[in-house]
Amino acid sequence: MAQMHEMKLEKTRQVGHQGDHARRHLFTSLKQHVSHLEMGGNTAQLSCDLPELDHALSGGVRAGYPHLICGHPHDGAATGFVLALLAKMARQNPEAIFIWCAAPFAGLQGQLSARGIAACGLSPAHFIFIDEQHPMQLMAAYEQALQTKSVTAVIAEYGVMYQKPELWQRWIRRFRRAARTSGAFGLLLGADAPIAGLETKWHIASHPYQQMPASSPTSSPSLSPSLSQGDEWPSIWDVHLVSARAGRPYRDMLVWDRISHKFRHSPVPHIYQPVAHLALSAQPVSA
Amino acid sequence: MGMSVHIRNASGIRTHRTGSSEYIYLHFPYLPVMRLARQHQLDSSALICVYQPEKGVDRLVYLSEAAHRQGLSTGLSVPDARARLPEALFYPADHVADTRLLVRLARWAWRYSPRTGIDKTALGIWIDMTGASHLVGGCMAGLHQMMTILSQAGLTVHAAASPSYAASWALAHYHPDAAQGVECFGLASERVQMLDILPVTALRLEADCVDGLVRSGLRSIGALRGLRPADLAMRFGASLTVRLEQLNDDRSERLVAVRADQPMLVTRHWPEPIAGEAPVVRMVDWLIDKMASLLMMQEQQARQFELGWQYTDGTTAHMQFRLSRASNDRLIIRRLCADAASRIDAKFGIDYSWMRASGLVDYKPVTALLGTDQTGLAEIELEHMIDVLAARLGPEKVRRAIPCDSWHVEKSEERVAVTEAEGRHHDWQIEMPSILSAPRPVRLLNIAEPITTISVLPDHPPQQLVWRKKHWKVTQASGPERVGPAWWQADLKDSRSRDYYRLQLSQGPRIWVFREGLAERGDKIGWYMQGFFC
Repeated sequence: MAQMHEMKLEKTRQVGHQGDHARRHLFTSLKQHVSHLEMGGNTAQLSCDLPELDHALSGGVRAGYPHLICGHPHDGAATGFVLALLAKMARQNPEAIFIWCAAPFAGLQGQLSARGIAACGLSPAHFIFIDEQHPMQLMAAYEQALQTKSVTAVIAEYGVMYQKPELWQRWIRRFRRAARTSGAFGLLLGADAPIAGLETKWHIASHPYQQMPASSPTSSPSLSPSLSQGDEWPSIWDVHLVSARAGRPYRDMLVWDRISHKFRHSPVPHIYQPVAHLALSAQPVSA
Repeated sequence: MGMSVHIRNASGIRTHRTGSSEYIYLHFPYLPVMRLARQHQLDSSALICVYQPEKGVDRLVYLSEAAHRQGLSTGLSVPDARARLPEALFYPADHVADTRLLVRLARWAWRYSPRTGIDKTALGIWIDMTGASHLVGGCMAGLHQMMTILSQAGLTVHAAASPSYAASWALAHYHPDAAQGVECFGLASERVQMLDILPVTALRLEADCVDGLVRSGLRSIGALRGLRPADLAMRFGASLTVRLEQLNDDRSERLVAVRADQPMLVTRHWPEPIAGEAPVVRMVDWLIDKMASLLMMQEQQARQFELGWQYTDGTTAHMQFRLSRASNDRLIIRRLCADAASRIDAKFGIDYSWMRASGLVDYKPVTALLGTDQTGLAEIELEHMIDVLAARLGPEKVRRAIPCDSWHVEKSEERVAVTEAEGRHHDWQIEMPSILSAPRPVRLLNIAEPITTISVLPDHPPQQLVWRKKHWKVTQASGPERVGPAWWQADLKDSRSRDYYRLQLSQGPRIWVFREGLAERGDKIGWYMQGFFC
């Protein structure tokens, strides 16, 4: 394989006229190959169904790496996005096992509901819940679970740990090593935190859904007298890929289809305004 | 059938010696009711009804004698029974607890015979007295002794003894004198006479077969006597003829005896009291090594381990460990007990220590252990991870979600330890249309939080709300989905109805709120925040 890359590089040199673009592409493929060898051949990627997003991720969400998914505590969008990724994994592997590590008395943002998981079209039978209140023990349990080869994904709600940036550098290094051992998806879920060293960092927020024929959506709430059939309230999220080690940032308004388990572009216009009222005042605790 | 001899002992009870089998069957018709009465400290006159869901309706399955006398019967739905007897107490059936009690009774009966078993579907135990009856003065003497002891313990028991399990079963359940104890060791003609009066349900047949027999006018066992077995088999299935044969012959009966759950034990008296960190570590390692060797030699695996020790002052202490998958691997047990030595405070020294293994299963080597079954290896690795986390955090913190039968969303799921889930986590049903018609939030607040709302009309969803000292504007609303209180449960009689609404806030989040209480009934109205949609 490496010889083949060398031959390509030689050919590129000989041709000469392909320029920097081809060279960059070649180096990217070489990097991917080295990464593949480091991972022991396990570089599974989870496609997000949208070519633009997959391109920004260099193919998809990569297994064997930790990913950070941030959201506001008053919003279920980030949790929904994680469940959407898990639903796609479960569709690929019906025997998938997900370990969800969280504090049982989370307070502000509440607890993940098994009925809610089922409402997303995902069976709660896939899940094993680690309920630990102590944040440090929770992170240790997350690392232990992330080392296990038969696990598809391990999710941790880090809660108040976002206020401890001094701990994260060590933790992230250990998470990367653990995820590389098992090849599992490592997902960290919580409030926006100044955490670096992760494979990708996402910020997910709910976008207000407005009924298309609404005459004046803000004047008075429209009351449906009974629950109507059909997904009348789709999950519309402002998906912001803040950073990706092997890709580039990306932002789009996406809709999650709970029946087909696919992302699609939102029909609502893209309005990228900073949501000031949702920005969490994450002040790192000074050492 | 062998030759039988009847003699009378000193107390006048006829004893029986025979070359054939001897079976005693004890039927406990009120066992679940008595268990509940003792559990809740109720007297024998309490109106206790035990129910279980059948085709979506809670129906009575067991009743106390007092409830029977008041006119209730099994099969009645709980609302009907409550309407007839409002003072009755209703409890859900717990078949696991009943089975556990039956096993204890079967083990108690080991004093009469080494071979006893349970019949969990019919609430009974059986005792194979063959070759052991002479030790208690005969089968009937043993039967009366058992009935006396059990009656003194407050248990209602119907009993029968006969040369076959099927006949004992039938007589204990359906003979009118079963409460006094029935024996059927007489001549063949006497036995036939006793069995012929019993209904066909005494043959342990499927419900369809019994229906067919009753519709044909064949209501008792005696009615089947004159008919040819071949005709019966053709009309009602081969099981009928097999059951008829089993009344006289036990050869085709499949009975599983209760096994002794004897733990495996490794003990050691130490010549000098053990104290200090390193000796305690060595003590634990020694016990683990011996236990692993013993399990391997006995070809057994264990799920639970108890590590115990006795101090020099005679006091004892122990700690428990539990594996999610039975094992006899030294490394796994050592990893499970990794921090045990550090948690033992030797004080002035340890004289004696032991390790006990229970929950034993036969050790069956699988291809996974040879490294040829990747799926098996992956499962083992997952279970090891669960064991490690359960040992480190506590088994109650490594859990599965199982569905519960309740309309209240906070009670509609339960998290149980992985080792106790027993496959119930696979009971979730994902039906897409129902998901969409009754949406549920992905995150639930641990306790619903009160909110202040502004609505156009009292029964309308809010236009604005204040939650956690912050104003939120509502742009869309959907609902209500009304969830009534569980009025049939005594502790929830005062609960109010809830109307759930899905709200879209102008800032983006979609939330689930509910209004508790009905204005038209004059209830106090309160609005609460319940959870977040994705």
